[in-house]
Amino acid sequence: MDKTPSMKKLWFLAVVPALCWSIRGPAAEWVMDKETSRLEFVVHYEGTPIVGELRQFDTRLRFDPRHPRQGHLRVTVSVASADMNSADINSAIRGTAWLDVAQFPRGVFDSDRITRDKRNAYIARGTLSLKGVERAIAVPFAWQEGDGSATMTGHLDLERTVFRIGTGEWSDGSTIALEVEVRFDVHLKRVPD
Amino acid sequence: MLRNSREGWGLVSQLLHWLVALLILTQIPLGLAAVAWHLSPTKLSLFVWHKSVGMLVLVLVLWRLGWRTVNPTPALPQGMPRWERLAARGSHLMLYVLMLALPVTGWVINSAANIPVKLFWLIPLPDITGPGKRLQEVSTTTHVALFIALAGVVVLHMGAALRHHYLKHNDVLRRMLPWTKPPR
Repeated sequence: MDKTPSMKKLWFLAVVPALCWSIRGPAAEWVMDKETSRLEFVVHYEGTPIVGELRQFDTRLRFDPRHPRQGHLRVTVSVASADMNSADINSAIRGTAWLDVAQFPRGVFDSDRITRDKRNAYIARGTLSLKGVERAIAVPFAWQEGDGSATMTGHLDLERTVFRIGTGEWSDGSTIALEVEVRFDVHLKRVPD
Repeated sequence: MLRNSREGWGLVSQLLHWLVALLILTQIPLGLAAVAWHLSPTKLSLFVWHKSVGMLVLVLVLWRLGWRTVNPTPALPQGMPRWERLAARGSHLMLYVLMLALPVTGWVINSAANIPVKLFWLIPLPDITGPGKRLQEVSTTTHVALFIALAGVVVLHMGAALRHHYLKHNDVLRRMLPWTKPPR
């Protein structure tokens, strides 16, 4: 078959992206195993830690540990699934002074950039949207990859009042501390290419 | 002086009696205020006080029972009719049962509600049951019912003491007062 001039000009359309792909490396897509993944938060009441769990959340990740900057992390959380293993506390934290789940049922973390921190440790910087407030936060995580699966673990401290969580009489932190530790143990499955 | 005799109460029994009486009277407004208060740090503090005083009552009542077993119990006045003796026995037994059952059911509520508490902001109170909404409801209802029963028996107890003092002119009330000399 004769090569027409127009087709000659078009060869780079196929080659250039392919070349770029091979240099950059395909960042794998990962989906979360909801059964085994955990997202917890630790609140201190009068100095006593109380562990809560966010029972419904999802993680979407595009990530290659060799090329973390091409990765992207998005975590969506059903705030209404917060469970502190106490009927009284659970009903209290759903109120407007705390999580106000009726108005703000969802929290989202969306990364702008993932960088390597040290061996098997990375930092996802991005925006956390919670209770109608958007703030830039850094989420450090450890990455362990196996055959087609991986785990992402880490923890970070958030100041609850930044997100207007615990307003009014609660905002001074003397009864319930301002610092809330968030910790996660996320199990991922690699999506086949 | 510290120990009881067959004639009168020793100082330890007298002080424990009035201390527990005072603490029980404190518990009523504390508990009612804690329940009624709007959700706030103040509400939580009222509950910490109520739970702390309640556990203190439990310890003091156990101490009273222990002290009773190693001390003589003063005899009832001579010539009391049989029904009065039975009523006195029964109401004192009821008082002890209720003074134990109220703190214990409160402890169950706290455990079932799964709210950590440090007694007097110092001593962490361990849980005696696992968390459970149903258990919390049942123990709360029981706690309130026992409170009503205790209030009834306390009124009976006070009425009986006043009757002994003012109408029967015996020393039943007087011998519980620390500032009166026990008869030799």
